[in-house]
Amino acid sequence: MNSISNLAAKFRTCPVTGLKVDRTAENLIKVNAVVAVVCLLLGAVAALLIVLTRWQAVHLLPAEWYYRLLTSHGLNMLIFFIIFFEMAVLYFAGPVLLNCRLPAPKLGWVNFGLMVIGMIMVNTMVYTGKADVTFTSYPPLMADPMYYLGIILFAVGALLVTFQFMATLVVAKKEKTYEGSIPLVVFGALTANIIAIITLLHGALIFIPAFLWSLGLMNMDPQIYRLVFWGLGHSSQQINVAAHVAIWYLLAGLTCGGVVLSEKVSRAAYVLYILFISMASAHHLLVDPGFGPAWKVWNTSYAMYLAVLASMIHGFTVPAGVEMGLRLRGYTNGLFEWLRKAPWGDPGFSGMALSVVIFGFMGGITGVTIGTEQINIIAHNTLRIPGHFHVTVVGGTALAFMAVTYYVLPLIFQKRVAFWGLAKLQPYLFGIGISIMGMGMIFQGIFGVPRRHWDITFSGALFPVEFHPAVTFFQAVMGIGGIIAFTGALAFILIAVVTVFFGKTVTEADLKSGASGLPQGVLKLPPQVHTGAHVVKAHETGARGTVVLVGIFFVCFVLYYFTNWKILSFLWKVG
Amino acid sequence: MSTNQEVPLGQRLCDSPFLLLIAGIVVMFAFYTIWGLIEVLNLPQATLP
Ligand code: HEM
Repeated sequence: MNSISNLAAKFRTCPVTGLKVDRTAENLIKVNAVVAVVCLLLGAVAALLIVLTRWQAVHLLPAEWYYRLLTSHGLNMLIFFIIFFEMAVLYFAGPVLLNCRLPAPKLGWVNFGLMVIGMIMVNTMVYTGKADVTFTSYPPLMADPMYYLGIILFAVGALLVTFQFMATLVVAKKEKTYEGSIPLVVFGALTANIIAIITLLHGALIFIPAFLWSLGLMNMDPQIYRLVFWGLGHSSQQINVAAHVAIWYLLAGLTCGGVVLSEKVSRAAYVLYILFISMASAHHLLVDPGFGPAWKVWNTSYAMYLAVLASMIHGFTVPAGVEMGLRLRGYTNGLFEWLRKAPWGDPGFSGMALSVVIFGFMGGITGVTIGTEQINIIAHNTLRIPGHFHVTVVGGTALAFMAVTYYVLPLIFQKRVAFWGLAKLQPYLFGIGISIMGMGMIFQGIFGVPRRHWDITFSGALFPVEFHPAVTFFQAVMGIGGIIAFTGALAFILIAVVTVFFGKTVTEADLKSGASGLPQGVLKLPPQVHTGAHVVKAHETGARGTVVLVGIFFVCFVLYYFTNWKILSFLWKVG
Repeated sequence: MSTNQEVPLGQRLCDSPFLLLIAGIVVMFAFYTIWGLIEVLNLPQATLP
């Protein structure tokens, strides 16, 4: 009797999915997600102010505050928002999806505490002006020792969570809470987890010496710093990629019953990530004189292209899985009936779909191009780089995280999503805004406008520097896109905060009556049918619509790639 | 046909999280970190003009 009540205290059963949910894991998901949203708010306010400074016609902040808020924006968005959210993903993909208990539950709280203390220390240093070093903190720029210590505490907390995830896999296997192999989504989370361990090991290798250097106890070689720092800085983006791809698969299934076309192919693609994606860190060092071409080309091309291949596999299998899922539900006419009839009013679906398109089309194409050694010379340190990563980590990862939140709120927080009408619009607002801003940045970069630069008129400089007049137009594009994206981010924060703290609790009656604030995947996912004429038709046609979309992708890819070689040839005219 | 089919090698490898972890760490450290460090440490000292 006692053990049954103990069990009931430890777990609850989800009325929608039937999963047994460990309560500590659930609470850790909640607190990590809430802190992630707080960091998103800090980062978003800084975003608005810096975009209005980079837009030369507005030029809002003085130089000192531009760099301070640039530092705050990079850290709160890229590191704190994203990693706190990823911790929530690991607690979800581990104990919840594997239907098992969370090992060492108290450790979860210690880890969370370490991460929060680290985050507060870093923000305090930044806002008191003791760490105007941008998130890369390249030596010889030096911050207060407490800044490095804050980063170290945060990283140690995160590393311990990754160990806890590995321990969860062991426990689930031992206690036989699943059969056969772990589900694909969990395999995706495992991939993210492994990349996180690689990343955080590099973090320890560079931030502990940086801390000692800031205390005056050792020297620091800037080139070695850059090498090891990017083992952390860029690999952390690959945690995001693996995590958001796992979320794509999850949302494809949850929102419209998307199928997995081939477990084997999707898992093989994840293994390619584990082996090769972290090496993309070398992109950041393509113009550094310290490394030879063999090291550069091997890491950023030969090996890295295997990871690009993996992304292209996921970029095909996710939409193709959605297409097949919808065709199996009867949308078999023509090439694109499934796409027209897809649940575009479900923010979980629209966010996921936009994330696939923005990440794949814009992020993938621009990334592979500027990651080519020769082309990198015309893109390095220009606004093309932030243009590229705002369509990958923001339009891809952050948007996927927002999309899944619309399912986490009812399923984990057990609350109906507040401002449901606004929630339906929010992914469009954020996705379209960030794409416009990204395009504005990319085009300015093509005209040579530098990144991380307070004043591109170079007023007071010894030599006049002038940009092409088109830059003024693209600055406005960037500014307007940035304002739209900021509005989208703010709408998300408002929805999430009001839902969590003041939202209505989901009841059985809400689920039956289809109350507002519950996405259709939670309410009334139409059942998949495996017999009948349309099923035969679906199997005959396959995922033809996606094949056409992929064809368009390749045409854009080839055009953009070769246009850049052409631009490069203008730089060094031969003959 | 036997129902007790042997699990294919690829699947068995994918089912070993620690093996994947070690593989990921070794590839990254060997090709990126250690090779990179060797390149930097072997750079000849620049001569003063
Ligand atoms: C809310 C919408 C956002 C807007 C309007 C925005 C805008 C900007 C702008 C204007 C810059 C400065 C570029 C420069 O001067 O070089 C920047 C930099 C950056 N942003 Fe965002 N951003 C947004 C969201 C995000 C998100 C969600 C992330 C990460 C998940 C992110 C990560 C970064 C990073 C890492 C930098 C580079 C900082 C540096 O160079 O030190 N941004 N962003």
